[in-house]
Amino acid sequence: MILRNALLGIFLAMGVSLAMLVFLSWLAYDRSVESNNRTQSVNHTYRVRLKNKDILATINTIETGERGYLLTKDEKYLQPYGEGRSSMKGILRSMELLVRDSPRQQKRVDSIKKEISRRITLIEFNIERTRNGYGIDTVKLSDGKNHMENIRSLCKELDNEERELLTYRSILQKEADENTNFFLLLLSAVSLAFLLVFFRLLYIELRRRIAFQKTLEEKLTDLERANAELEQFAYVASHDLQEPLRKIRAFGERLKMKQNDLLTEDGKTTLLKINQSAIRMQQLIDDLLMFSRTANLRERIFEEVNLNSVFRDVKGELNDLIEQKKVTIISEVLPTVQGIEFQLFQLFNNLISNAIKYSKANTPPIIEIDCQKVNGSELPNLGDIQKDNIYHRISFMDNGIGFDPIYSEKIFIIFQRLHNRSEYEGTGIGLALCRRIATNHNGFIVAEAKPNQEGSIFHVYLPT
Amino acid sequence: MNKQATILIADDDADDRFLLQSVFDDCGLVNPTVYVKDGLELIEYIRQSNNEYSVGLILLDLNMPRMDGREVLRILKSEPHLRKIPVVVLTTSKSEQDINDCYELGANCYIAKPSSFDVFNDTISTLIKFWVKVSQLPVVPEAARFLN
Repeated sequence: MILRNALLGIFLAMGVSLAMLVFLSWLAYDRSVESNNRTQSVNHTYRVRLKNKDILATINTIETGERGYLLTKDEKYLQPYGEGRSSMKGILRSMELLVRDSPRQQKRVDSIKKEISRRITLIEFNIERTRNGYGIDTVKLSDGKNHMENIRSLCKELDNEERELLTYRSILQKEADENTNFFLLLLSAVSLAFLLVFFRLLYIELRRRIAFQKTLEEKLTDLERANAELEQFAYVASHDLQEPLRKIRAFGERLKMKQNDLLTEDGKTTLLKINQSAIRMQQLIDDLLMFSRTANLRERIFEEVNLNSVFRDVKGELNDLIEQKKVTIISEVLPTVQGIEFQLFQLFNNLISNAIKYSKANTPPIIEIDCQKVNGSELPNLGDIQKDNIYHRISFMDNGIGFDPIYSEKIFIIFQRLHNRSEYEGTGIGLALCRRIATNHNGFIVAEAKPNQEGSIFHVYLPT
Repeated sequence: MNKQATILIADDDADDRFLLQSVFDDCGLVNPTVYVKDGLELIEYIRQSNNEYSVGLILLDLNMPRMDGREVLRILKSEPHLRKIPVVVLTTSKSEQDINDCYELGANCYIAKPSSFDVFNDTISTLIKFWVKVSQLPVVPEAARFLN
């Protein structure tokens, strides 16, 4: 659970900081677009003001040309007048285009245009009069002055408005910039904090993993050493221990064969006990050897094993016993698992023969095998990750003598027996071997006593 | 085989040598028996005995000091005049690896020492009685060709 929470925390911190970074990028982009827009509007204002100055300069040029001609009647003064008139059209057209976005300025430009056209009509009239030899019309001259003043004041208004707009836009931009800067800074700080938290979490988790791995590797080394020692022990048991035992048996039996008649009754009984004990010790050593061979991890090669055919083989193997004791065995359809066929055969064989062996006197044994898919959480002492695993639970149920529930774990310990050897034969290796086999298959085996001594249930859990 | 062929036994364990002799005595064996304690002694003995027929049967333990049974088999079966002496491997090992190895090296028979003395007794006396009968058969010229 802790592992999952840490993982969730890391994902959350990463998600939040990622979202913040995306938002920050978007904000930065948006801001730069806006700033660009503002720069463009400032440019626009400058262009309008420049154009405005152009209009005034051009009308001045035209007027200067007119005055020069009126005073001197020299045609050369009409040249700037003509040039001014022709460029005025273009200037006014571009001015109209520039102020398209502002109706107020548009109105002003319209008025300026009208005043200019009136002024130019007057100038044309004055020039024509002078060319035809008439004197200067003072009324018209005063009219022209009025028009000029109108033009100047209109241009001034237009320029003022643009200037105000510029100031206003600058203030607005400054404020917006300050706000955005603050916001950007805040956001950066927050996402930095999140990133730091995220890294901290990752760091802690990584440290934990490293420590965990270290423990795991140490355990693995221990395990390998223990395994090597076990194998060493198996060898010692097989050779060094069996050797003297074989001698005890050989000389004991030789003594019985050659000298039995010479012994007293007490001597005969003692010799019998010695020989029986030697045989029993031999069994124990053989079982121990088998057990340690089953524990040998190197021989673990998994293949597909159909448990139905394993069950069938075991039934065949125990056929004589089944007929003799009138045993009924019912099994559900069993799954196919990954495993070692020989070991699974041993597992089934041991569990079924146990069920027959510990049956109630005068009651024909009934053994039921059922199979279900279950969650790992059903098992005690399981790691977090294993809890989510799905297992085949194969249950062997019998109607035998059962056992006291307090021994439900003890019976799996090697050489542990609940009954006297005179009642039931055996060395006490069977269930220990079953547990070993289950463990070899990354599985489990647990025992359950039915209430009222109505038999026992052995649940074998094998990974799906 | 005109005269009584010798049975050569290689075993480093004195008790086992004693038990074997006890079985031989019980089944009334008249052939001479020679005991050696390891492979080197065995090879030395067999090279020194002048008559190649003097050793009629070898009972060979596998695990012995200095030179083990496998090495002995390798030497015996690589020399033409020694190859035809029947070798019975008599050992405590029941491992399939050992059994296969011995037969591959040319052992004629492999007997894992039974842990029960009664069974051991029966096995060895059956083997010896059989060998005595076979060794007393007249050598048929055609068969001799195969033997060599």
